[in-house]
Amino acid sequence: MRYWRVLFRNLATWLSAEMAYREDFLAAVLTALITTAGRVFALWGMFTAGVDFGGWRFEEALLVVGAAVVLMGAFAGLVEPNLSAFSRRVFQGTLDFVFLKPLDTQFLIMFERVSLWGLPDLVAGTWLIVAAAQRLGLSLAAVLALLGGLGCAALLFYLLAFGAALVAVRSMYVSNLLHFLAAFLQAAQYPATAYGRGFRWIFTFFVPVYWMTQVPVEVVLGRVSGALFLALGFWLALALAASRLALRLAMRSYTSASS
Amino acid sequence: MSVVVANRLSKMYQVAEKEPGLAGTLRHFVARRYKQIAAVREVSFELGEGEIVGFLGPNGAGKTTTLKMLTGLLYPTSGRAQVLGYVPHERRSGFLKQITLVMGNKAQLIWDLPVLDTLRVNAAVYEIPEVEYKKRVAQFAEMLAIEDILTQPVRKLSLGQRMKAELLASLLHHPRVLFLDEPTLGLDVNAQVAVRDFVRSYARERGATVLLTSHYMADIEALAERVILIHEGRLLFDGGLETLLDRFAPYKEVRLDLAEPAPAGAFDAFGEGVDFEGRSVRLLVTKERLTGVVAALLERFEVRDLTVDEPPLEEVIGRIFAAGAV
Amino acid sequence: MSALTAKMRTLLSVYYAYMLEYRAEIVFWVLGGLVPFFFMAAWSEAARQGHTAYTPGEYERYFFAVFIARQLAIVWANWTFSDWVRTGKLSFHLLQPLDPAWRILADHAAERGVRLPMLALIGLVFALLFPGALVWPGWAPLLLGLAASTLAFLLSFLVAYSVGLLSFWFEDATEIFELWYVLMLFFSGMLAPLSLYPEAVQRAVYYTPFPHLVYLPASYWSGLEPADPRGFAVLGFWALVFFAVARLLWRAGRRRFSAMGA
Repeated sequence: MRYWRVLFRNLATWLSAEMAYREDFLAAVLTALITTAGRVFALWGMFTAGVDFGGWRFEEALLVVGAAVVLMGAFAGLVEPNLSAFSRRVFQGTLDFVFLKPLDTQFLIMFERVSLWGLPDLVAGTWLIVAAAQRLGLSLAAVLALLGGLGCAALLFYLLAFGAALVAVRSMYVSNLLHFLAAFLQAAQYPATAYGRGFRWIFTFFVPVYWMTQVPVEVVLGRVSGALFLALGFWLALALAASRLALRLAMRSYTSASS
Repeated sequence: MSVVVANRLSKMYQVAEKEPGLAGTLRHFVARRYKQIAAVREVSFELGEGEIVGFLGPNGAGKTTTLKMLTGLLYPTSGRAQVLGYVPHERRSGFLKQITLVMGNKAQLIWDLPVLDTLRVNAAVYEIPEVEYKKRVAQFAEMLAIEDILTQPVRKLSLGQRMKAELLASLLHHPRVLFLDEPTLGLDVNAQVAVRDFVRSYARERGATVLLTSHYMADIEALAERVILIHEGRLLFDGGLETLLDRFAPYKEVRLDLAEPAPAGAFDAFGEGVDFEGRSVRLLVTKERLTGVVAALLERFEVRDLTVDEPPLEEVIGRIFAAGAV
Repeated sequence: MSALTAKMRTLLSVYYAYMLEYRAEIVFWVLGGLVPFFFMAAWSEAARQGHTAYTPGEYERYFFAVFIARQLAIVWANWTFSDWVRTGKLSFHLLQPLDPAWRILADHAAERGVRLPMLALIGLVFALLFPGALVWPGWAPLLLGLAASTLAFLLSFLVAYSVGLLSFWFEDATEIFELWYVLMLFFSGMLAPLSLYPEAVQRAVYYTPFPHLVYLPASYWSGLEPADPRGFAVLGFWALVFFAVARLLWRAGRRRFSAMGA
């Protein structure tokens, strides 16, 4: 309960801080609109120009695009601001303040703030999903299941990014590393069948974005068994355990701010 | 001719108001209200060639704003600023090459590189010839005792070392007018003394004019003979340090060392600002009452030692500002 | 002029050292720019199944050229300038007798020096992974492509710097540059060769800078389609426009600059 309150407070505080940048937010909304239109247009262009998605229909592929856009929103709203702040704290030595608080350290690092800039993408992605689902005749329950699956996927992506940041944070500012990870979300907006075998392998195992967008969509479409949701849950539990262990190890060798 | 002229300088700011909470945030997002704040109001003073002047005032009094107007970073809302015959905000190259601004809470040094790299950039920017540049760096580094840290990345330096390096970088082009904003902020006593000594010898050697703000009165006492006080954007006082004490501190500080502890409150009748700790007592006594009070004290208590002194400058200034406009 | 050259030389060497400190970050930044290869993968897979206009090898060559063109034109002047305004560092740069734009330009140019070896390495890996994809374009197309890429960089720099100058008015201007980036993403040939776009779209965006920023150098280098030299004129025109915009914003912005507490 305490965690929920802290979470809510943090979010409210940061939202109000960011809403001070009114013009910038309007620009973000405009950007999201253009981007979303562009993505649909690009997907349509690929379909008409002959890219073969392995038997996917346009609307079905649109669900995958929507899923990826939702993840991008989560990335811009939560992952990037928190992990960048984490990196800055390590360099400025203010991470000590986080350690001193009587709450879980990983929670505090991961949910310290939220950026409004993720919101336009979240809305646009959800809208794409709903629009595509309607044309496919999917039920509301299916859409909700998909959004729930995407929540888990976002958390999985976050944990992977957190782990990567943890490894890198002592030697560099992590924002470019995050930029690198986010690039894979660009790849995740199309069904993996669009790519050659080598790339498919990378997206399934190396940076498993396949599990984050395509699997939830395919479960909802009834293409694959719901048991794959369990697999997603397994990845999530694994990532959570691994990240907690990594944080513990990192803290053991943490020497506070070096000047 | 005056080197620095501030003539009825004023600066107004527009600040957006926002209430806390979500409702306040939303209202702020939709319709903004602004408030005019006067940071500096009609401040006038002049500094002559080679003068070192202390610029005092509590936080938010308008010191930094004034310095920024004099260095051309801010446009005055009204009034006139003139430095070395230039209008600062025109930012003529000839002007910029002759002034410097040091800010104790800001860093110009490139964070991830050795100090020397910033110095090299500055030498190029100010068009200092190579030989001359080497000579100046060697001389300043020796004066500041930081010869051995110039090749270390700035992020590895202590605060004191960093500030000395900032000074070196800021004075490399031999400015004629120095604006120093809290140059000793957060430094330990040794570093403070080093910074102070450096500024003094630089100013003396080159006949530079210095306008200096500081929270540490020791800086002011050591460097300045003249002080300018501002409070809430208005000029309160401009004159010699001695005059300031006479005008605003018609007090003497009396210190007693008692043979035996006295009860608390025993000294309240004798003066203000009683500081009472076991056997040592400290009082502020107005000059008219001084003789009487000292006699009474000697009569009433068994006194081992008694000294009469000027009160510390901090306290005087603090009293002036606490009392508000004068 | 020679005084400025001397200043720039020092700035370049110091910022080169500075960027070397950030080489790890730059590696990831370069890797984050591998996105065109994802699209390459999709298009060449499609080509392998025989559905599209070009062969897999042509797509590979094209998207590699796109990748390089994009890498050479990357800018962050908006970010740097906003950061200077926010942290108050701008004050120091205003106090010096050198327009801050030169500093940021030197910063960008020096970074290219760190980035180039990495690009060479990626080129090597690419050549090994996709044998036969990289073909020598010939001296003239190579140099013309470089000229186009430099012009594209200058234009992007001026746009980014102008957006950075908006920080004088808006407290945060990062998202505004995203708009530029997104338009570039869709209309510069990063997703697909522009020749595959519907004619109407191609015509509609022709006089904007977007279809030339990446596509012009990439066309010279890849030889996929004949390059359109009129793109130089379009890029040059927009560069002049944004140069004027940047000067105006700079003048108006300085007047507005209120450094209270910053």
